[in-house]
Amino acid sequence: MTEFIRTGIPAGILALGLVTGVAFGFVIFKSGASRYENILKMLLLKDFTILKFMMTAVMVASVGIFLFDSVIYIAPVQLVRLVAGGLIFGVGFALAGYCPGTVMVALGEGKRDAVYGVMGGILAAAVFAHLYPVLEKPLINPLNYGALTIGSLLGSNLIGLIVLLVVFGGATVVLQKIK
Amino acid sequence: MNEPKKEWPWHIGGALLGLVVVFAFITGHPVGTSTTYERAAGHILEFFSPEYVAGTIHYFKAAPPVADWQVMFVIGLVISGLIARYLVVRNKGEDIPGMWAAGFGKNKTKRYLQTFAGGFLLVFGSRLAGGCTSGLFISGGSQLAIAALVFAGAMFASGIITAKLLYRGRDI
Repeated sequence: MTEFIRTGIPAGILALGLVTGVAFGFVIFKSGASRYENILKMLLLKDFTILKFMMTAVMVASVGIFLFDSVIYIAPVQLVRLVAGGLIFGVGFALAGYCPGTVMVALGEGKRDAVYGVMGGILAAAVFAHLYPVLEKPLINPLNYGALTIGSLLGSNLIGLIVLLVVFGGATVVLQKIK
Repeated sequence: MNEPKKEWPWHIGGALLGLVVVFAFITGHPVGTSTTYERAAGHILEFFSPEYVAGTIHYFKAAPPVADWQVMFVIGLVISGLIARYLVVRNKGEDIPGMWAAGFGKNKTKRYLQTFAGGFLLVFGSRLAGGCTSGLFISGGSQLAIAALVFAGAMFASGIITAKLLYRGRDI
């Protein structure tokens, strides 16, 4: 508790984080996204339930964020780090069958393998922090195209939103047909 | 099995997850997970060597190992799993996933080593990319960020290839 006070972050904000985490995690659990089977069936291209679930979440959230005008932070397109990080992430995704968030839900669910996933993740964070000064120049900084969005590319956030909804919505319909 | 009897259909679950994300944004915080691993690592290292954390690594200074909204969000994720386990499915948990056992046998150590390696790559990749599925893809994509699409393309490309190689010749 003293630790929290030392950070100067109001208890209300911390409570908000906790409540949001419980809600987010419970939807993940109830939708089957914290299950190894569902992640692997998606990556083996046998069952796209989780992909449709994720795209639906992004579609609904994108409409809400647009309506409430509540964009907070746009990650810049740093091509090298996004592609290299994404490729490494994907291998871990297939090995673990979890992502860094769902493994936390699985941990609470009592799935014993999740314990090791979390430990591997904490070790990776320490190793990454140690290597950061070395990685910064070759892998993080190059090919930075700035904070691009679909809206900024098309000149209008509304058009950007519509394009996202059409593409993700279309993809969801196609995946539903394939199964 | 450690699973709910009935999973919500993807469109209901997806819509609810989207609404939780909107709630997070209008209350001032994008959802994200992977920075918390860094804070946890910072906390553990700080316990053993405060000088190392404070002095030599500038990365921990950018993300000081203290509790914040996201740390509490991640604790909430674990609590949601506990709620699921004790109030919804009411079971003893699970040693290894059934599908994994069907493909690779019942050797727990092998599964735990694989999950450890997987967890390592997940978080290393996340830190390198600057976020994970929740922060980069869901929060980013919901704000129409191109970075979300680039990251998702790369992660699914290597994820699909790795999964296909792992299960090659195994009839699942």
